[in-house]
Amino acid sequence: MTSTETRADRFVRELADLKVADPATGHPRLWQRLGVTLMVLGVVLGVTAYLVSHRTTSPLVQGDAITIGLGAITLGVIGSALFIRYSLTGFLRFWMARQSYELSMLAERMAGREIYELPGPDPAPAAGRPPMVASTPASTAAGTGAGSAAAPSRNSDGGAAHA
Amino acid sequence: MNALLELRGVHTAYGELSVLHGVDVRVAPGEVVALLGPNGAGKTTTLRVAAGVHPVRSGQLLLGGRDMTGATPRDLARAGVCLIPEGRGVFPNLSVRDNLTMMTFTGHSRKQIEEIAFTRFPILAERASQAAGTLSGGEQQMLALARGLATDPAVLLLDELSMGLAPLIVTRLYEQVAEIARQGVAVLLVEQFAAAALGIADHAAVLVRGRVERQGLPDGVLRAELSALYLGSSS
Repeated sequence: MTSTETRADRFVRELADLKVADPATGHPRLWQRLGVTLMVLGVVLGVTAYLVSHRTTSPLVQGDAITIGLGAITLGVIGSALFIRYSLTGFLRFWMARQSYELSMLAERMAGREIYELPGPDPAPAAGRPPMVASTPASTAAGTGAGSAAAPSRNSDGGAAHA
Repeated sequence: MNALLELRGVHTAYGELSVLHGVDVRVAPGEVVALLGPNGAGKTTTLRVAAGVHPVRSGQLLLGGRDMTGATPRDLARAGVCLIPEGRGVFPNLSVRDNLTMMTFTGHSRKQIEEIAFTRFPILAERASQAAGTLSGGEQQMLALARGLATDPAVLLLDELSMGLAPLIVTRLYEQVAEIARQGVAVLLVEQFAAAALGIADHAAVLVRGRVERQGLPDGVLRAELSALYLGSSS
């Protein structure tokens, strides 16, 4: 990068260097389909090799059947690897999104619980304090701003505390 | 000036439902373009298309003159496109510092990122150890902006920056956006409340039912016709 280069110049240069796979070619889906095909082919060849070896007494033919069988295993393993690789990517994306969402929900629930826990340092339940079960509606209110006043260092610029 | 970001005749849809019908938008370096329009006009979808999150059905997405149509969000983010979504998108249960640390994936050190963030938004330094979920709405938006800036963006896409915030905070945030643009960043912002966005925009476009109905300078004709367009009586 030269010292006179602006961010825009650098952006254009980096874009030119960027190797972008064209999603229009649908490579992931293609690989996934290839994986399934190879798995099926592996099973078919394995069964074929088994049948061939049982229908002959010739060691030469049985030798060929063993070769076909080993090839079938190889194809099956490669096919499984491809399928798992390209199907798991999609699955893990959703899993991560779900994890993120659940963490957010947990944080909101915990924020609601703090409303009851903040006033009393005494771990024993104080007389007259509502039970934790009753915190469900309050925690909902906390999400809409009622609980924000209880947060120790929260500002009040009119913003809701959702993310 | 060559556009850093250009949408050319973009059509897109959610399933069978067409949302954008040939949208054309250009943003040059250092320019702020405000995309305005009523609810359901396709503003957020336009940003999602520009960030590669939503696929283009037809048309082109050009970045720095290069056709990037169909590129993944990851590729576009690596290139320097940063989308700050509606609703801020900070991790509420992580501290401000941890939220910023997550941006070290960009290759910048934690120190560099904190320097960028805390210089621009000093309030975040005071709240560094506080959970992001306990920040006020404005502070959360500052954190979201700071996280975006940590990626050293060339193109910044902002969705409803003013949502749920007091007018004074919105004004301050938009001042920061203008400052970011002055450093050569192309900013495309989507805003339902036109007045806030038009204050800093160099150009504005009004999107109605997936079509750009008006484009031009923020003042004059555009400002005068805006309310009519919002009410759908432009014809």
